Amino acid sequence: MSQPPTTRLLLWLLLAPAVLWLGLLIVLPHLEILMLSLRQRVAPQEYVFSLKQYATFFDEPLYWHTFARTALMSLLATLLTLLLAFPVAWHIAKVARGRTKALLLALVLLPFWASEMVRTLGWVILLRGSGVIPQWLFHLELTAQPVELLYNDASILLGLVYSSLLFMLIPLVNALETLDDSLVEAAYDLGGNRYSILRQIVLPHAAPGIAAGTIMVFMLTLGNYLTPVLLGGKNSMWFTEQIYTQFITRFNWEQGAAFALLLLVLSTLMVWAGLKLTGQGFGETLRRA
Amino acid sequence: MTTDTDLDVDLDVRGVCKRYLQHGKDFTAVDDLSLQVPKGAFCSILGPSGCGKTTLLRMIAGFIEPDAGEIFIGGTSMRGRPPNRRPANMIFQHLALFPMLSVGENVAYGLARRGIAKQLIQRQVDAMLARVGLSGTAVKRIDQLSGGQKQRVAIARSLVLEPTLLLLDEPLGALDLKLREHMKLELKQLQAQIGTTFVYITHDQSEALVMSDFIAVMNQGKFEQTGSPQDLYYRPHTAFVAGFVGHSNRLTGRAVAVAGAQPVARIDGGPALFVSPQQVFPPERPLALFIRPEAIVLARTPAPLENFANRLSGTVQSLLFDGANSTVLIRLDDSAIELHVALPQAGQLSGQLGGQPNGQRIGQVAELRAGVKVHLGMAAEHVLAFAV
Repeated sequence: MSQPPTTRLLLWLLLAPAVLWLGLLIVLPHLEILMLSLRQRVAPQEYVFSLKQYATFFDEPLYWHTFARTALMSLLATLLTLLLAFPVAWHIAKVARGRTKALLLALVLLPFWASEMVRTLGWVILLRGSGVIPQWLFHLELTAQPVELLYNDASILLGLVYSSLLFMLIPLVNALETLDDSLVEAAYDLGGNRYSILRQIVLPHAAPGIAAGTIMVFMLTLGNYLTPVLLGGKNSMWFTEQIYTQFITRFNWEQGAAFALLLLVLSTLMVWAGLKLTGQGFGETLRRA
Repeated sequence: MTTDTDLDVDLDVRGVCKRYLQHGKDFTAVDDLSLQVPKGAFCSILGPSGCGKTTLLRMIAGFIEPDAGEIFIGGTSMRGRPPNRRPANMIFQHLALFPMLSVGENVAYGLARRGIAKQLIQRQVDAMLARVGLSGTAVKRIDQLSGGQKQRVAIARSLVLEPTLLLLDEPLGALDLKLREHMKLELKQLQAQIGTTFVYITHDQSEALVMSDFIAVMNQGKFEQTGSPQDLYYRPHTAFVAGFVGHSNRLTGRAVAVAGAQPVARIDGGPALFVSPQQVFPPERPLALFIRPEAIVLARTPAPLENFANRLSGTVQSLLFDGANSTVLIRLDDSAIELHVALPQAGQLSGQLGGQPNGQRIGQVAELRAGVKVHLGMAAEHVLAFAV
């Protein structure tokens, strides 16, 4: 390039934190994990190339069942989050005005000032057998004895949807705010009803926001560890738990690395398929997010 | 109030009211309005922003339900009927074309909602696009069209539904001046050609004057006057209409008690004038006076103006050149009053002012430079007086 050397040096210095971040914390660990996953220990300090870890994943039903279950539950949680967030986003973007709008956004943001751990433990306090809701149900004589509401799929989904709501809501509100009210009125005036206006005018307009929110929520959910463990207990069967177990409990880093890579491939493939299916561009979606 | 519905009236608004609560105060946007628009007419509702004209239009379209009164379209009461089931379609201020749909899909939108067969829709859409001069654009995206083309797509999208009434909410406002002038004529021609009843709201008096068969001038929720463009221009009933429609010199003054038939008003800080005898005012009544710039005749000497009831003299202050709309600003002698006077028509002034042969317009304009003394003449009926 024709730039003077000092300018180029300055540019590199400014880029250095980002490059170091990417290189040391993202690229390098992933390369390390890739290498870990492709070796097998034959003797102390002695390793050979092997696909054994991947074979184990497919041979052992527990692993790929957990894998598939995690993917499906994440999809379900994402869908539920979308269904729940859309009317809320519509209300914030199109119905609420002025101070009410600011207040509603603040209410949505407020829980995120506490850490995810605290928020999830809040649900534990509410849902466990000796917790608030089962006790109320018992005292109101709606149940014969306090029921355990924790440690099932519903409580996992509840926690996942709760912790993802904000990440769906913000891109949706942004997308819906740019929708010109007169488009909806024009469609109504030309004979459209609620359903056809939603399908032909509102959803196409909000599509980039929906894609952005969905991708973000799906990736967060798929890689979530805390919520499934705290709200699902031992039966949660979340794939991140398997990775944790391999690394920390079994000390089988090779197997853990293979699982981690499989999860990465899965999330990449699902996002790619989602974008292809809805005809959204990746760049446009990133901008919206 | 009549109860029979006239078949030749497409829009019949009867005693419609709309009130809003604004900053804790009751605000009447539309105050007991009645209006009848005959079939095939081009009707304009003209008023300044905030006069309630948009509220009225949105009530006709069905987006707002009136607090009182009733609206009939094509002889049928529209009470409680939502916009998607009214035989009226609206052209929005910013057109509101659907950017996610193609031009053809935009025009087809309303037909598809009616559940018409695809081939039939296709044929109707093509015919409609041809009618507005946009054949072959059906596959284009909205953002590929020019401002004027978008305008035509919006009109096609509504007219393809064959509404009884087409409502237009200042759709020319967003266009630049040249295109706006062009679209004015195009809209008028299109309306004459297809014969659908148009209700057009605007704050631009020139749009209303050029296009309309009749105009309702609206101010503070009420109609000041309804009538043909000529009526409003030459025979305004109120000071508001006289000031709002067309250009006028607005002066203030007081009625003077004078024996004889012709009423007289004394302009504040200026001379007394004979005014139009359409109304008689008690002495000392404060008045607003309006004189059109083209109703004032200029001459170099007092002699040619002997037939005018009002004869004044003054000095040219400046020349405001604007082609055919050029005016001269003249200060009356012995007062601070300044009047805009339309530049004299060809021939009329050339002999009187400069003594030059006819047809030398540039010579005339050059003659009327600042500081030149002139005489002014106005007929009494061109000085309109209203009580304020």
